[in-house]
Amino acid sequence: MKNKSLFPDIVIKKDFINLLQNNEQHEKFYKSIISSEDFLKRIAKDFIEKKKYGNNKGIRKFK
Amino acid sequence: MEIIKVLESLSDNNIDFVLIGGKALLMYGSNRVTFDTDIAVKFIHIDKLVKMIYNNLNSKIVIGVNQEQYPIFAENLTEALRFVNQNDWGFIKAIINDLEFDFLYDIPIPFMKLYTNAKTKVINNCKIKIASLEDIKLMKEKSIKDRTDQMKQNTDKIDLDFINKLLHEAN
Repeated sequence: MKNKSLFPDIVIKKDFINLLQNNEQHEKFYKSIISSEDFLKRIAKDFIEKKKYGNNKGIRKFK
Repeated sequence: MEIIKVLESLSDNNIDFVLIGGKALLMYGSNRVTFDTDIAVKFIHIDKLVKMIYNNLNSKIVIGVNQEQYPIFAENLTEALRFVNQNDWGFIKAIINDLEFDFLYDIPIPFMKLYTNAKTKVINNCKIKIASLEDIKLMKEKSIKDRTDQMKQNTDKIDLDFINKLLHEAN
């Protein structure tokens, strides 16, 4: 039997496509006001951060 | 819209995926502006995903960082596939049409559970899975502990506050 979730069923907004579209415009605007160097450095910083808590278990070697 | 194109491409390539993180919260009404898109994918679909990024989307994945702290990209599909087969960081970072995407395959929730719990929406005949609020909360609570970046930690806090507010209002 499926466990009943304690979480109420909160629904996705009806205008979710518009919400996504607006967010993408914000994202593009942000990228238009920062230099490409800053954009790339932000990506590099996040890559390093994610690698820190990645575990690199090497599972794929045994695929 | 680029993000929809990417989600459609995942669907066309039969890659199981769930939208997670800030972009998923946006669909529940969060007004925090996100600067990247987090998508959980099935571990066994990684090769298909990398092929899609290079062949269908003409984009690149990040494979390292140089001494000047700039990202190093895999210049072609062969190099990208070699990287993902030799490394297992639990994520693939791609830049697609100047937008940042993180495809995560090492997540604190089993993928099938995340997938089953997710809510489905259809856009242009493409089924999009959006993580449940319960699962987003769990992932945010986990990631906030792992973070060393203060700014990212703050955005996790904002997201958790939003989730808790929604839950409080609903009860």
